[in-house]
Amino acid sequence: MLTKLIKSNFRNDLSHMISFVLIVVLSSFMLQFGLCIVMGYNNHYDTKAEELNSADVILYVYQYDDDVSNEENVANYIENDPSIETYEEQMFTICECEVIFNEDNFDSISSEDKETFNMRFGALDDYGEIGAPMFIERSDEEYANPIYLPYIALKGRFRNKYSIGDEIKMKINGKEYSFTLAGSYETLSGASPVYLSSYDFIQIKDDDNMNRFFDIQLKDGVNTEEYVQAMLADFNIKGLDAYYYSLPETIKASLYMINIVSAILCVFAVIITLVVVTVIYFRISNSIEQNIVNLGALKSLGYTGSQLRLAQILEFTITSSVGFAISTVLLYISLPIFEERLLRRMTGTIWKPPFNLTAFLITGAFTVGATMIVSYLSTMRISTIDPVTAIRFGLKSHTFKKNSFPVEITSGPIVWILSLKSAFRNKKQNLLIIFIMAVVGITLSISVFFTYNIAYKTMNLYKLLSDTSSEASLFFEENTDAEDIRDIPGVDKAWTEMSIVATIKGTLTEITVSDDWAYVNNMNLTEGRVPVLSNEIVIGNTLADNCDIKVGDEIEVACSGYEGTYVVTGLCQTTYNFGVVARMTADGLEALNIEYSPHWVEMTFSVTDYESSKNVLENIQEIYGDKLYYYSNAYDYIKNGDDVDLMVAKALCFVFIIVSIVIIFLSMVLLVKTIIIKSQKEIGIKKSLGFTSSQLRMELTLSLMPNIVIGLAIGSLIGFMNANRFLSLILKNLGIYRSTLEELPWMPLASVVSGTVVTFILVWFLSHRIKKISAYKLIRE
Amino acid sequence: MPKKSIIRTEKLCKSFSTGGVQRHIIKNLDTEIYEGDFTVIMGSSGAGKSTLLYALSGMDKASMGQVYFSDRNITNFTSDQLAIFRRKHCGFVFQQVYLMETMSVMDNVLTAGLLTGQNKKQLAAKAKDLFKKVGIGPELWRKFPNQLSGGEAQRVGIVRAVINSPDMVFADEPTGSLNSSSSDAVLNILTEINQNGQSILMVTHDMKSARRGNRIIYFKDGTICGECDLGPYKTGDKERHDKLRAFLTEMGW
Ligand SMILES: Nc1ncnc2c1ncn2[C@@H]1O[C@H](COP(=O)(O)OP(=O)(O)OP(=O)(O)O)[C@@H](O)[C@H]1O
Ligand SMILES: [Mg+2]
Repeated sequence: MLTKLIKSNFRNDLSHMISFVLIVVLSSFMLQFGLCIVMGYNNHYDTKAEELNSADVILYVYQYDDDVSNEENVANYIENDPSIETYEEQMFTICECEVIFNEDNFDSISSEDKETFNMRFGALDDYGEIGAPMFIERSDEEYANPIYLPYIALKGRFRNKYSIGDEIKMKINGKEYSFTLAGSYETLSGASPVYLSSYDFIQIKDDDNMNRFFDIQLKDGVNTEEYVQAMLADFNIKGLDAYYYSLPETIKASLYMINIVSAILCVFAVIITLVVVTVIYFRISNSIEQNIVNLGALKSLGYTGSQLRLAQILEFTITSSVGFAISTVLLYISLPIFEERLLRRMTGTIWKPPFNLTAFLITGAFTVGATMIVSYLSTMRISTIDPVTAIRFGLKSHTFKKNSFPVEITSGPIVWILSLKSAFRNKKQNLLIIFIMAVVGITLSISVFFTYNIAYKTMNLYKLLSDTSSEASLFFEENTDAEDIRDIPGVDKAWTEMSIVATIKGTLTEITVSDDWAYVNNMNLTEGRVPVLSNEIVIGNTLADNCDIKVGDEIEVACSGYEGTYVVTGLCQTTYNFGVVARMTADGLEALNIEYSPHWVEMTFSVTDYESSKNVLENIQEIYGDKLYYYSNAYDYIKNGDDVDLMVAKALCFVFIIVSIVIIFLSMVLLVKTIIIKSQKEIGIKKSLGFTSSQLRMELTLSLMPNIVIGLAIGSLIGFMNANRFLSLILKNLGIYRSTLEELPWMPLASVVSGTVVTFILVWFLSHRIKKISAYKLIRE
Repeated sequence: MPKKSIIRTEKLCKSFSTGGVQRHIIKNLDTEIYEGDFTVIMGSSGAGKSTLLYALSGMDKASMGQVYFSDRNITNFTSDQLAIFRRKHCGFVFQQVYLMETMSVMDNVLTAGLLTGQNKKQLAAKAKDLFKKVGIGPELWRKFPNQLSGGEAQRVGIVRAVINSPDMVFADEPTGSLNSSSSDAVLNILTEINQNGQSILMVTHDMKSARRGNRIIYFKDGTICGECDLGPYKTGDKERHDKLRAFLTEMGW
């Protein structure tokens, strides 16, 4: 008996149920996807580190022929450190490389054909046991001049242009070489070197730029992060120079984007689920109203209230379970593809997604559970239906009390007046529309905000994430003055910078020093002001949080045996060193007994596009000739963005837009259909009076617009006002406490307008069902 | 003076297929409905009276043959063209009242009226005038249809049907669901508007209603098998009653 009831429910609701399944598929897909990735990757790195036998810490020093004391001292230190279980040594060289992509022509200056960057080279044969490269793909053939790239570089820097066996032409320190791509490997080390044959390595190595690497594995129970801090502080006191990569930090950085993406997916999944349950609630209470007579009749036939309820609850539970099942299948089909196309490129490691029972259960419980609860709640009314009253009078809510917008005194065309009348008639429906459209407004306005700041004005995001607000860095052979550079056309601001490493409250901190911070128009300060006097300092937010430092506090800074006291004048944010940074003035160095000898000039452009910025830098190069060693251009970085972060950010914009459109689409399908069924009779009557289908479609479409616009406006404002806050929340771990991306007043407007236009077109399109309703059919029934 | 025809059919056919079986309800019908008449269609239940009414009014489409309405062939109009055509030329009164439940009595009428682009002030005045004629007082104008009695609702329905001064008012058993005093009131109104020149085509199977017409058509076996001219209606016309009874008996009613 119950089965029959459920079957007939499904038959009546089929197309509704299909759109309902789709929206459930979307939300549970996103939720399970997010959970799978978050949980999967956090486990993945632990197993991967073991599988790759990764070094806990990689320490390296620069080799200088004339002075080996630093190198020897570091080596001795490691040799005798009781915390170290085992270590291996290897030599690397850092070279400037030019890689060409399109023609055999290194003279090309267009970055479309060519990329220049610094890369670390090593000899494959030298490798020992620790963190040996694990090949993702490797040629069986022997090549005379093999080259092995980290997978992440192959897909990123090398622009995914080469496959195994391809010839790669490169200029290394100005000399032309040709290699054959023989393999790509996964690694968890931040060093990610390029491997050559021993012969080739000797050919290309630059004796002035040799790194001696110590791949260190620590004893069990030693905390890597604490160990690194202590060791570096020790080195700092002893005046030793060494650089490091630590496994936890590399993993943290790698996981970072993954966690953000997953968190966003989960949040949106939850939002969509909210939309789903709202629609279910609306749908069920409408169907009760429509079927009140039927329900009454069924009751009089002997069905009990709980049977009728159960039938409804089961109908929706079955549907959402089906949606959930479909989404799970889709997930495990698409996850490997997604892993291969994006995640692998982001992390440089291979992850074989296993079936994740926890994610499965959580998603199932959430999606199906929410459906059950809401259908349980919204069917309460069925129990109280009295068969006699139901059959004779229907539901009381059918009585209308107020005749809003009387035709006689409302001006405008009749279709317009009728839309107005129905726009404000049904409170429950209006709240539903406003709620759904507010959700859409939030996602839309955030995506407008992101698209503008990330996809269109990428420089905004770049500056937010970068150290200071510089757009180009110039590295000079000798101490330099920024003053002359300021006068070069196309240069807006220029200032010199030098960086030192010092200890603040026991934390090793990167301190950037400049002779005049006043030239930096935006130091990414979140509080206070730039340092002006010699005893002033600005520190990074993360450092301030970790060590409980506030603006106005006095802090001790220790470096190479000297100590100075500084007043904190402000807090700044940067992703650099995860925000463990400080900034002080050139005069402030005196207390630490360090001479201000900057080699870097940081600058911003007065031009705003890639081509002009390139011209400015080429001009500078011409003026300074050999004195200018190297320069980097942020516009170049943005334009040739092999940067996975930017890629992910753009993908997220895309996800936001898709989510908005899907919510609009699915909720409108459900809504419009319900409304049409509900007003079938009235539509029939209007047609008999001589209304055409297009008039009635326009009336329906227009009648939804006021609430749609209200919802969109509310949501867009909420989204717009919180977009930066939302971003700050995401970026906080990275060191960005207060996102300051551009918020422009047209953004919420754009979101409202685009949302309205899309919805209008969609509702108009969906309302074509009105055509099928005829006046005659109504009368016949 | 010969009567001017408003509706004319040529070999009008209408058939339905139910479960693969073709049933011909109207078969090759040639007929004319005249201006100024109160035409009544009678016949046994299921004969196809309503089908004929809606085919003539362009609410439904003919299966074959032609329907001319004021010399315009409306047979091949699209449903939108028919809708636009109905606005000006047809008014409908149904057995179930079919007022729009979501709006007030006044709005129900004005909504129909505004479709023909009439001036709103004049239209409202006309509506109020009509309401008074049918005995719907101002206290009812702002009420909703479900707050009206059946008779009141049907009278509102009539006002809505005539608000655009249509060429023809089509009424399908307008008194079918009313008690006798309400029925009389509705029939009186129909008679009155007919006497003021409004053409009416009404379906009924009730003699009391049929007596109001001046031309009675008997529909049977898919065609008109007889008609009877009763002349203008007068109250208490015994002779008229007998004539109608004789006609119906002859038709096998
Ligand atoms: N849309 C339709 N589809 C199938 N059959 C139909 C349709 N409309 C009418 N019929 C059939 O056509 C026949 C005539 O119907 P119609 O309603 O015209 O009769 P009627 O003379 O008005 O009857 P009554 O006096 O009971 O109202 C009926 O048998 C009916 O079942
Ligand atoms: Mg009938």
